[in-house]
Amino acid sequence: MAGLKGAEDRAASPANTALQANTTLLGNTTRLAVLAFLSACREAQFSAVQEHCAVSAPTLSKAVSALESASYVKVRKGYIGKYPHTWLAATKHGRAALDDYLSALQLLVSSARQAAQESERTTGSV
Amino acid sequence: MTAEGTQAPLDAGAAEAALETAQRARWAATRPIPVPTWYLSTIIALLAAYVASTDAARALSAPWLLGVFGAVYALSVGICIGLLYRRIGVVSFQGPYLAPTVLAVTTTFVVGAGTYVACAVAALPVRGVPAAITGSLTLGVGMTWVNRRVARDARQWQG
Repeated sequence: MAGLKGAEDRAASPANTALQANTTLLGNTTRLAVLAFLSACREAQFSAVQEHCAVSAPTLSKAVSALESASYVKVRKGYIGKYPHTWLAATKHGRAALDDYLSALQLLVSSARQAAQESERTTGSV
Repeated sequence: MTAEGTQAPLDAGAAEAALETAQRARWAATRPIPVPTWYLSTIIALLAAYVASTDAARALSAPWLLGVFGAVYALSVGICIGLLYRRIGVVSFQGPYLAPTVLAVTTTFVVGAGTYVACAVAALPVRGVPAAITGSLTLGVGMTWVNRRVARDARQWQG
């Protein structure tokens, strides 16, 4: 238990603040996947993101709206020939927020692993 | 549970799952890059055929043949670029494939052109064929390297 308590203490850091701040928005799997997908490219067509996330267009639209209202994603509408298309792109702010969030998650995971190892060592030495 | 019906990733297990989701999404955004690689390979193979055809034109003393090959080559490259544009129009990539692919293609051109010039300096009657062979070999090695490099990057990225 002491190990787990240590992990909690380590998690209570600036990284954890980023975690808490973004969990409401990025705690949703679809929104996280959308932002992560967009962070790896300059911009992507709505259909490409939809294909990856395997969600319906209204669900993706809702997720994008939430990310757009937080200024994490920007939406561009245009035409290819006479067909309308929508392109999505992660903003600088969105990319930074995602990086912070993922770093915080990584820290949480490594803290938990370390705590588990410490706990095992303590149990083993008794 | 959040209002959206998803579990907030506050414990280590959920955090790990969220990290994996993000990693998969990032990787998926860069994955379609090998498709343009095929088009690039086709363009370079066409160029190699064109360069090799200069030997045929010289051997047959038919400069007009070079014009015909040139026109076919230009048309084929136009089609390839059109297809490439349509493919990569879906996603604009900044993925790990881009820089190594550009390097591999550049090296292919340098090696092919170098072989051609070397054959010309040595006054060999055949120049295009050796240039096409060395260029194609370089392209093969280059593309293999690109794929390995990216696979390694992906492994590193996945931890």
